[in-house]
Amino acid sequence: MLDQQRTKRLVAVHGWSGTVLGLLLYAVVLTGAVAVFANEIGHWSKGGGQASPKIPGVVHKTVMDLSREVDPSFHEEVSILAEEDGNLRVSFQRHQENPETGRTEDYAEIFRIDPETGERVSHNSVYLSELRELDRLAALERFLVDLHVRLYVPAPWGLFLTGILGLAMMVAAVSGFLMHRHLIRDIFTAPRARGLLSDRRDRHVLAAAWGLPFSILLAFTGAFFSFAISLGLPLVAMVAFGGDQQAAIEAVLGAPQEEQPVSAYPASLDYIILDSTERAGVAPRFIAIERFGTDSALVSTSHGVAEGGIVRQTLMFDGATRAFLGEKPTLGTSPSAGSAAVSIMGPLHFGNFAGFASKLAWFALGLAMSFVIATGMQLWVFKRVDSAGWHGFGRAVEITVWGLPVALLGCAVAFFLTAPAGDTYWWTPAGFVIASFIVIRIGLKAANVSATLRPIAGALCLLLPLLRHLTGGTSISEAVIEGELAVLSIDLLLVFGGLALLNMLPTLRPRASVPTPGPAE
Amino acid sequence: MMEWMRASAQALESRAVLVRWITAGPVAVVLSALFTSAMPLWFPEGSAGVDHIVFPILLFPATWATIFFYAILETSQARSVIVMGGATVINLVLIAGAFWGAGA
Amino acid sequence: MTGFLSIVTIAISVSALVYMRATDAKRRRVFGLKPRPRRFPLLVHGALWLPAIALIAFGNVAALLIWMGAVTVAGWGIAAMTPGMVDAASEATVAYRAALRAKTEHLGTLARQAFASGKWRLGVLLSSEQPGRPDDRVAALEARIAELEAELARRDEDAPRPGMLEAQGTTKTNFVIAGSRS
Repeated sequence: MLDQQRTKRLVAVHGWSGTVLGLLLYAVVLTGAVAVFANEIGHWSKGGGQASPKIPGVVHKTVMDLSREVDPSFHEEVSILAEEDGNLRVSFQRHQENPETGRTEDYAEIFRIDPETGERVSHNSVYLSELRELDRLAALERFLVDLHVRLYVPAPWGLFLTGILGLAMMVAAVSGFLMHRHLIRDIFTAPRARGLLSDRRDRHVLAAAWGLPFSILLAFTGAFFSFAISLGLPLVAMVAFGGDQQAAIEAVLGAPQEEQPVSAYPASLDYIILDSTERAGVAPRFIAIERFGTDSALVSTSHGVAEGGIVRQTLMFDGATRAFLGEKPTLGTSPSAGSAAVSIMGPLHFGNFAGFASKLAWFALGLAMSFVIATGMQLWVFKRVDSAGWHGFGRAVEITVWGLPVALLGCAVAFFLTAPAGDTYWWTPAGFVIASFIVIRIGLKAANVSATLRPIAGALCLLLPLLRHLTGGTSISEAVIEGELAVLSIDLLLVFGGLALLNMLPTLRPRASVPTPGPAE
Repeated sequence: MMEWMRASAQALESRAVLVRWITAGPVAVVLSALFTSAMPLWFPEGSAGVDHIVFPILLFPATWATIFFYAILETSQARSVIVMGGATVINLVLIAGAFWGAGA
Repeated sequence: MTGFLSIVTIAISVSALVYMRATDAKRRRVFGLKPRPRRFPLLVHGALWLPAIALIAFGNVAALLIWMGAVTVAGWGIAAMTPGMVDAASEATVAYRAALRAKTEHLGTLARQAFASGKWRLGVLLSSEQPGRPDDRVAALEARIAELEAELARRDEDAPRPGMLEAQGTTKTNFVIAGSRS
C-alpha cells in the first residue's frame, strides 16, 4: 500500500501534529464534549427549565397590545420566543447606533410575559448584544461554550486557533488511518500486558480505530464553523463580490426589502401558529415578524426537529393575509443543495437533533476522542522516556489531561458559590483560572500527577450536586416531582463520574488464571 | 532545455525535506486560500444561486487537507512543485481574470 | 419513535459485535485461546449492518446518527475488554442472575404462603424471617454451584493446550506461546 518512506513521513506528521497542538486540541475536544450538554448544564445550574419550550396557541392579543405600547419605529422586527423558564419573550426591535461600540445594532424593547396569567414579568430596553448579560445564571453554560469555540482568545484569533486545531485533528485522524495497516484485522484486539509500550499503543490505536469516522466528522464540521465566517466568507467575497462581504451575505441570505410598505392590519398570529403546527408536526418555539403591521409583513415560524429528522424547520407566512409561503431554507430564498449542506453541519457537530439520546451519544464520542488524544500524547512521551528533554512535556501532558477536568469543575464551583449574589460572568472564568493555577502548582510538585489530580476531580464531581443544592438550587425531590430531566441526569452523571474517578465503582478484575498473552506483533 | 529541467529536478530532489516543508506548509495554505477564492467563478450557482458561495466555504477544510496530504505523500518533488505551482498559477489567472473583468 | 428505533437497532448491532469479538481470529490467537470458527458469518454481518440499512430505508436520519455514534463507542468498549474481563463479567452476570432468581423464587414462595394463610398484610411480605426460606436458599446455592461448575468446565476447554497449539502452530503468536509453555 504505502512504501516505507511515505509511512515514515505520515508517522512524523501524525506525531508532531499531535504533539505541537495536542494539549490545546485536548482542551477543545474535552470542553466540546461537555458543551454538548450546554443547554442541560444551563437548566441544571438554573435549577430547571423546559427542554423544548413551545409557544402557546393564543398570543395574538398580547402581541397587539404590546405593539401599541412601543414606538412604531420598533415594529421593524417583532419576535416571540418561548423561554425555557416557561415565560414568553416578546421583543420589538429597530436598528440604531450603539454609542458604546459605535456600530449599528439591534436595539429592543423586551417584555417577558407569563403566558398563563398574561402578567408582565419584566420589561427591558437593551441592545441585543448586551442581552446575555441580563441572564446571570447562564454564565456557566456560556463560559463552557466560549472556551470550546475560541479558547477565550479574542476574535478573530480564537476562531483561527480552533479552526487550525480542527485541521490538526483531521490530519492526525487521516494520517493515523493511513499508517495503521491492520485496522480491520485488529479491531477486536484488546490491549495486552498492562504498563508496557505495546499496551499503551494498543489502547491508543483501538480507541482511535473505533472513533475514526466521528473524529473526522467532528473535526471537519468544527473546522467549518471556525473558518466559515472568519476566513471562508472573506475569501469568497474577495473575488466573487470584489471584497464586499455585505454583498456576499445578501446574495446568500437574500437582500432586504427595498419597496415602501403600506400599513395593513396584521393577520392573526394564533391562526398562523395553528397552521404552522399542523404543517411542521410541532408547535413553534420562535416567531419573527418582519415589517410588522405592513402589507409586506413576513412571519417566519421556527419549529423543533420533526420526528426522525435532524434539521429544524422554519416556515414562512404572509403577515397580512396569513397565506402559507413555503419552507424557509437556511440560506437563499429557495431550496438548494448548498443550503441543505449547511443546515446539517450544526446537528452533525452538536448532536442536538434528538434530545437527550443524541446528546448522550455525542458526549460519549467527545470523551472517546479526548481519550484518544490523551493516550496519543502519553504514548509519545513514553517512547521518549529516556530523553530528559521530553520530561517537561510529559509533565505538561499529565497536568493538562487531569488538570483540565479539575479546572472545569472548579469554574462550576465558583459559579455556584457566586450564583446567589455575585457577578457570575466574572467569577466563572475567574474560578477556572484560579483552579488552573492550583492544579499547575500541585502538578509541578506531585510525584505522580494523575494519582494526585484524579481523586481531586472525583471529589469535585461529588461536591457539585451538593453545592448546587446548598446554594438554593432545585432539590432532588423537587426535580423528580417536576420532571427536570436535565437536573437529575447531570447530578447522576457527576455522581457516577466522581465515584469512577475515586475508584469506588465495581470493576472487572480478570482472574490470574487467564493464559499469558503473546507479545505484540 | 532538457538539461536545465533535469538539473532543476535534481536540485529539488536533493533538498527534498526543505521543499516538502515549503509545499506542505505555506504553499498548501496559500493554494487552498486561492482555490477557495476562485471556486465561486466556476462552481455552478444552483437553483437558489447560493451553491457557488456556500460550497467553497464548506469545503475549505477538506481542500486544505487534500492539498496537504498530497504534498506529504507525493514521492517526486519535481512533480509536486509542478502540480502545486500549476494549480497556483491557474487559480491566480482565474482570480486576476475576475478582477480584470470587473474593472473593464 | 426515534428513541425506540435507536435502542432496538443499537441492541441488534451490539449483540453482533459481542459475537464477533468471541469469534475474532486475531483476538483469540493473540490471547492464546482455542480458535472458534464464526458460524454464519453472513448472518453476523447482516445483524451488524442491516439495522443501519433499515434506518436509511425508513428515512430516520436521527436514529441512524445515534446508531453510528453509539455503535462506535460501544464497539470500542466491547473490543477493549480482555478475555479475562469478559470472563469476570460473565461470572458476575451468572452470580447476579442466580441471586435474582433466588430472590424472585423467595418472593413467589412468600406470596403463595401469604395467599394460602390469608395474611394480606404487607409486613408478611417484607419481613425477613419466613419458614421455608432456608430450603430456598440451599436450592439457590446448589443452582449457583452447578452453574459455576459448568462455567469452569467450559473454561478448561477454552484454555490452550501446548500440544494442540503446536499441532496447528503455524502463526508466529501461537508458536511463541507454545514455546513459552513447554
